Amino acid sequence: MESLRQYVLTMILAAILCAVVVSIMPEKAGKQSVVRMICGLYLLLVACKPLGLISFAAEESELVTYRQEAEQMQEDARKQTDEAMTAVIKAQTETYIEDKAEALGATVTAGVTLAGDMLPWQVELTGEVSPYVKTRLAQTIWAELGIPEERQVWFP
Amino acid sequence: MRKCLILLLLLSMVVLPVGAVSLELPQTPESATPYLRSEDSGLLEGIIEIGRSAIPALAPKLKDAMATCLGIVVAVILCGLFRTSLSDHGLDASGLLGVAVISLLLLRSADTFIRLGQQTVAEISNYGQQLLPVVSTALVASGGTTKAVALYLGTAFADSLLSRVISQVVCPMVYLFAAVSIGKALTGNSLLARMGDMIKSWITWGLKLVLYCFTGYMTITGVVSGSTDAIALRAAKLTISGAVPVVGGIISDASEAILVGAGAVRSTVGIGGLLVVLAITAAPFLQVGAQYLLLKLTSAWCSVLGTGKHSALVESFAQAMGLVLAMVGTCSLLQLISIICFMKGVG
Repeated sequence: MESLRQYVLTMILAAILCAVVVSIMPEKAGKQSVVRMICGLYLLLVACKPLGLISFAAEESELVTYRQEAEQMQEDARKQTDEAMTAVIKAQTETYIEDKAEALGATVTAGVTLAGDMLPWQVELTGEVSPYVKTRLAQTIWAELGIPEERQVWFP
Repeated sequence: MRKCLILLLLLSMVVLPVGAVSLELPQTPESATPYLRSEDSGLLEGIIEIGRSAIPALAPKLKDAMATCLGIVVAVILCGLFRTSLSDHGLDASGLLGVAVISLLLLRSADTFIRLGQQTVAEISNYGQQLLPVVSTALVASGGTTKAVALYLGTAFADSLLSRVISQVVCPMVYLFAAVSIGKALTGNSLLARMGDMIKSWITWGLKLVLYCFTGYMTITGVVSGSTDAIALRAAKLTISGAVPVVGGIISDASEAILVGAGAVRSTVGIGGLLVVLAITAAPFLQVGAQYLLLKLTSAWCSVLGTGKHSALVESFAQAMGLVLAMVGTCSLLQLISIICFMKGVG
């Protein structure tokens, strides 16, 4: 960007200089046309010389930086969303289990742990229930939530 | 004043839940706060409020601008009188004196407005940089993962490039344009006249090019990556709901809740961002616009009352104000287009 800025300003200043030179030259036909030609060649030289030197290296490295920032933002946003999803799934699964227990006439408190793929992995149940209710609830949890009995932990 | 402080405090603390994902709106710049409503409002009400607040604030600046234009008209009239009395001696001293007086009157205000334009561009760019991660996160949470990355990259790069082009290339060129216009008025040199036109063309061409390229990129990227995200979303929903009946239903409901919540937040954040960008732009844009219109009017008067060179000089300074308007307008449009693309969402 700095090189482009220098190029543009150099061009404009060179043009101003040529304008001043042409305006102060006396208006004799031969001399002024020679001066105009020289000014034109000078402007052409100023225009063409730095073209190969203009570099956008800073802009290219900025693109790389912004890409990294974008990917980091995506990662952070995904983590936030996954955490939000985990919280909602956990809460809804616990409520589901507690509702099922209530339908069987028992009051339990459920604490669900999710696996990496957000499927229920383990449940910790707290409450005093009869063996019948425990068996029925265990079957329901296994059939409907996919948590086997060995991962259903009961606390008195 | 107290109302503004409370608003500043509230806006900086607004935390928008996305299910359980929290997004904070960036702090509203002080220059924009007087033009925003203190309570939540829709887009239309917000725009009306900005207009209603910004226009009366213009009055003091308008008086200064009118005083300057009146000074120019008086100078042109006096030069006309002196020219009449000196015409027998073949001197154009009055013309040159008129150019000098008009230049003195206009240079200071031109400098003020160019700096105002530069400052406004910097404020818009700063706010855009703070808002960008927020809207991007909301779009990712809405399922627009690919689209968010592509739009983030395009917006960040274009915003940085445009603000640098404006501060390092366009602003010096506007000053040069003013200098060349004064030189043209003093010497009557046609080469300087053509150079002024060239500078003006380069500036408008450069700004248009950045804006067109940016708009094209955002449109194409939004369509392509939005379709990819929409297909991925549908596939994910089908997979989830088919996995295990009850669990699948729970996960699907949770996913839907997050997506809907994120969509609502994205719209809210987007509307808030649009209003803040408009509020930052409104006052400076109106001030420079008023100066532009007044100078155009003054140039028309001068063409009747004075010589062509005085009228052309005033017209050139009006065009310089037009370039400042183009600068501010381009930067503001870039941010507005970006926010709207993020608000559009997936699909």
